[in-house]
Amino acid sequence: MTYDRTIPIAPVPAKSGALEWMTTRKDELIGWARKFSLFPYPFVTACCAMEFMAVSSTPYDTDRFGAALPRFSPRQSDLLMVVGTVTHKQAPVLRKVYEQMCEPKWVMAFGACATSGGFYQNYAAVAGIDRIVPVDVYVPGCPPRPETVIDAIMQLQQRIATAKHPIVTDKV
Amino acid sequence: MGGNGFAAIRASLGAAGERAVVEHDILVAAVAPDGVRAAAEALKRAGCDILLDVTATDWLPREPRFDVVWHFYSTGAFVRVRLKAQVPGSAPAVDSLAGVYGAAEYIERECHEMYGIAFRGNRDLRPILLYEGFVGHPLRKDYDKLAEQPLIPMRDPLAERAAAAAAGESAAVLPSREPSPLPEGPMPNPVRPAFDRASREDRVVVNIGPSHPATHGTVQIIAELEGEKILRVDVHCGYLHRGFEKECESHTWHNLIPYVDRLNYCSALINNFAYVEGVEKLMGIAITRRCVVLRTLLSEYSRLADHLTCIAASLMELGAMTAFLYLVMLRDWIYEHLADLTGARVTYSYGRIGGLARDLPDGWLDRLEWILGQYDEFVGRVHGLVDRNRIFIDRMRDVGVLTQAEALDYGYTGPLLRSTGLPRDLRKDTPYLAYAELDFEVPVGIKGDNYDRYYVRMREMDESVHMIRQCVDLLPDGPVDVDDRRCTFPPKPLVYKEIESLINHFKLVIDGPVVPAGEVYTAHESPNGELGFFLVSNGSGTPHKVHVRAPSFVHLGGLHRMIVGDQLADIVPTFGSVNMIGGECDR
Repeated sequence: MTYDRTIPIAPVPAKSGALEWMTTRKDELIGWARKFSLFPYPFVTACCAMEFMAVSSTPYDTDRFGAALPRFSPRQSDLLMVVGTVTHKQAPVLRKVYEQMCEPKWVMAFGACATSGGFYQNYAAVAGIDRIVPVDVYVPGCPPRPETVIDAIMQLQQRIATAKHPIVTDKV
Repeated sequence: MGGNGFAAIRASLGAAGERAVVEHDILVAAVAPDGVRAAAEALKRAGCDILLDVTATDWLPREPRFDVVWHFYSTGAFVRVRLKAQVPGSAPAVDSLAGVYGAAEYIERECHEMYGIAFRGNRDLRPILLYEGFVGHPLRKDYDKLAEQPLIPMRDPLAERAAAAAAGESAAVLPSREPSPLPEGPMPNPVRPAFDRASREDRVVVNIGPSHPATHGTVQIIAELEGEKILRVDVHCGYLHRGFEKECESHTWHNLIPYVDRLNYCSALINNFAYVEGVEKLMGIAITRRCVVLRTLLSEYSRLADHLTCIAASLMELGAMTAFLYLVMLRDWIYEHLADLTGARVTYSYGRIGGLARDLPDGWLDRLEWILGQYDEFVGRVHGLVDRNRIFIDRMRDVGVLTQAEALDYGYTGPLLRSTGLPRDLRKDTPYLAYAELDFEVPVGIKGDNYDRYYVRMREMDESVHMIRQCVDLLPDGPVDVDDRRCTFPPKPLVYKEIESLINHFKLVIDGPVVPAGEVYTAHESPNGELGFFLVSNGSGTPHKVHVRAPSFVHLGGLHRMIVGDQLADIVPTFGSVNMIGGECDR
């Protein structure tokens, strides 16, 4: 994958190889730093958990993307992975977890149920978590293959790398 | 299953027993709504020591409207009994079995909320799979399947998008970045805890879950602590109730196979095979020999994957990350191997009524033998890492103890019951598929603690590998699907060439396979215990009712007996060893 912008980094011409100077933009620098330090909060509910286990262990290894270390407190995480079906009974819990996360935060809808309710179109299941929280990346599949999840992480990284990162917001 | 077992039970039921009939290997007796308790007491004296299940069937507009159905199992005679009571549509009520069977008080809550049937004498009829404030009874036929009752305000992204387009904005408007509005006042609580304040000033009440890092599965445990010691708990499940049974009633018998997959998603194939066997019993289909052996082989292969997942997750929660990585590596090979066969890694949808989706691909059995070789290597390493590890033993030995009597009282089956020392296994006791021809042992534990549950699962995996190798030797050539146009699709070239096959294909897809009216209960030994499907057909292509006797759900009813008296930190290994699977427990 090629990124839209890259950070020019120049080593010292001598043999030391140490970094002497670089030019960049603030948004690019912060985006570059943030995209490699995603701390996911796995909000794991259903079948997709099986693939979440697979994607975070040896053969697929999300550590390569700086997104391996799950934080089990929403207050310490910045990527909410909603893994599996969210039901109406669970909805207040998800809303509360989202509220507890600090900015900046991103949300991944992992699997068909989190994306749209999947094939559960009935009284119990919420038809997509975007009815409750804003979603940054949707992962299709029931459950998605690990490669799909890795692709989603990379797309999210690109999105973070190219986004604006205000240091002072007018939000209160 | 013998006639002798039935004779003793018939005698114990008196007049109702004389009228009872044997349907699909189950003794079915009709009782009056107020005679249920007496009948259950008689059954218990006659040796039916496990209450499997309580459910109901809605026969709107018939009057009396509901059939309430109880299933019992005798671990001595290996027979099942079904009691049926007809209750009217207005103020339906039956006697509760609380006090006769420990599991009853808990299982009846589900039937109460789904059908609105009152159980006289049950003190605790709070919602269990649904939530506080839910109005109506979703499994009644007059409840609209789509009538959702949200607890918090919800946004409607599609409507917002349409509104933006109507206002002349770009059609590609991204969903809003705002979450749904917060409810006015406090966040609604889906459950009503049995207690919310401590019984003494120096005790505390803590809430664990439903989204807790150390519990795999969405369960909520409210516990009162004295120091670190647990004095009482209130266990809530239902956070993954996604309307499986309601969804089944609007799909054809074939189309609901993918839903069945997602019950116990660690071993989807066993769910498939148990379900299609039920339908085959109703239709009177005998599957081919190759299909029998293949289903047996794949059931054991699934059991291997399920136990690997359970043990890996439990060990990881205790900090044994290396063992987790070893076991998940092995599981991943199995997943990819099953994907070669079925096309999916987790949810296979591979069972078909009267056969299987397809036959084995070339070289599949060679790869299987390679994976079984790796199994010995990797599981051997895990044995070396944890079996005699002091930390592991301290956390597992004598923790979460359940006695044999309690286990039976609470309806426990599978590895949990075997860990208490009772060698009850459906594959041995009432052999189905090809299990009667296989040579295997039923491992049992000594005291029913966490260590025993771990070790029983490890030994069961060894037995599964042994059985898989025997199945490979047994596997005959021949077709996997029966040649029966009521359920099997005609060959694709014929569908294109002749009108009869085209119509046949069309009717099977649109109307579904026509299943003769009747009721059947089939049970398979799933990795968690007795997985039962109670199917009711009214003679059409869609089921009238599909009910699952989910082992996880029943096991959760006795969880409090395992964790009260232990320390707070012991909840994690105990809950891990129960292996509650949300999809199956909450359906």
